[in-house]
Amino acid sequence: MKFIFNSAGAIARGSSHLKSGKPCQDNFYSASKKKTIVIALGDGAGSCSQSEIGSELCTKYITEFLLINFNEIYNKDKKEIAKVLVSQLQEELNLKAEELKISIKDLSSTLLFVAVKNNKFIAGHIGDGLIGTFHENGAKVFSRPENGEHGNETFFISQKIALNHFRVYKGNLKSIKGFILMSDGSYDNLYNKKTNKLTQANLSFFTWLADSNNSKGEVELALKKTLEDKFTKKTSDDCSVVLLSTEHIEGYMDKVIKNVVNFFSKSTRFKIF
Amino acid sequence: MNNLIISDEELADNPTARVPICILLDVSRSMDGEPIKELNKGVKMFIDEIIKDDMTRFSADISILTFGGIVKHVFDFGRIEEQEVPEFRATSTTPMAEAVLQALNLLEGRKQSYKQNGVDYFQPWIVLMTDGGPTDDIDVINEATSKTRELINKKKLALFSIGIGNHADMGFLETFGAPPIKLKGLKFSEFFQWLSQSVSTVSDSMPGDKIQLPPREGWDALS
Repeated sequence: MKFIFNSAGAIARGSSHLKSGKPCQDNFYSASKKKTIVIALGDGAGSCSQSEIGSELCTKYITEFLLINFNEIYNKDKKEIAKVLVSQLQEELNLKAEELKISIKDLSSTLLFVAVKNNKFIAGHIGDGLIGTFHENGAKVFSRPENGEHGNETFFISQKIALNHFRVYKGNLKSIKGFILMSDGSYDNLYNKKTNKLTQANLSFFTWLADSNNSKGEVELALKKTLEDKFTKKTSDDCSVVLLSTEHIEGYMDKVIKNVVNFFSKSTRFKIF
Repeated sequence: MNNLIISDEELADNPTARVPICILLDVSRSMDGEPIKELNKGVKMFIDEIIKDDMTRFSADISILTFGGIVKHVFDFGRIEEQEVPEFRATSTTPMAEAVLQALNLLEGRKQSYKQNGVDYFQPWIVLMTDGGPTDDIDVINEATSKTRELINKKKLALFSIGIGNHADMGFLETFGAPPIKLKGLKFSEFFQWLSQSVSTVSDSMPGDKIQLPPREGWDALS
């Protein structure tokens, strides 16, 4: 069996950041190597001075780390995975904070990621934003935002309590054909809070990506245009999305084996009594 | 390139996150004259400012209780444009603690309504304005002060206690759990202008934002 992966993402700077001169604090990163692909998205905390550096560092680091260590991490249990990843990320943040002579709090960011190798995946989520999955029959919420009770509260990878709020998922893809990561600015547009469902726009984005007639560049341009023209009209926050599609293609020998199995299961001569 | 466009119908139309605010106004006998006149002016101006501002019109969720003899619920949560702010008249005693308890119940009920309808909300506020001290029974006072202190400690409530004039019991107001502020003269309009700007600041805030409310120079006696 052969797996083909595609990814695309986009970011739009929020009007409140444009007004205040603050940089965009959302970041995303994706990379692939042989049979593995990773996508990651981070949203820097509003008033933390260098949180855009924090979100960039976290997304790049988790992507590179899982590209190299997918098998080793996948074989651990979820609690252990969380411990290892939180500790690695916080160590990187601390080193960066030392280099910049700031506190780790100034690099506060949420983090969402999905790593896929062949038909296995590892996903993680701390803070707000949302992870969705795509199936034959539509899009589903996979990991919900974790906010405090109030609209401007959430959790960040830099916090001492991060491990208590770092959610890890792993398993086989089964019916999953793709993933979407979105920051809270985007989720205001892509998720209906009353019905708790993802909107049609998620499927449209996925269709763009899965359609081989569209180049990655075209898809990313269209995503960015959508974020800038539509999403930022409804929220003053930064908006970002990143998508991953997985397609598996049966090789010649897979088809042969399938045909043989089908033949023997249908034939009455070979029933075992 | 294929037609890579989505329509507005494909997007969610989620309600704006709310800032629920209960304003408690002392309309006891001692507020008669200039104080109640300025208070009336200030509250009307506040509601007008909230309606005029694109951000606060959809986010501010305001309820007003008066306490003078009895506690009256004179303005309810919901669509501000569809309600009228009544004219306040000074009368009778100061059931301040009872007003605070009713405000806490109203805010809790409003939060439940938000949760049922998928509406996000910011930390609720109580704004308490008084020129004296409470005339409630001691049990009611203790219940009100202990409940507010607990909520403030858990960061589930923000309380602004404003003392008006020379007879406001600032020592008592402190027992609610937040440092009280003395109003400069009868600068009600300046206070309510600050309040509408503060609501705008909160409703524009994002996760991780350290909320910096506007300076209080125009109305804080100590600024």
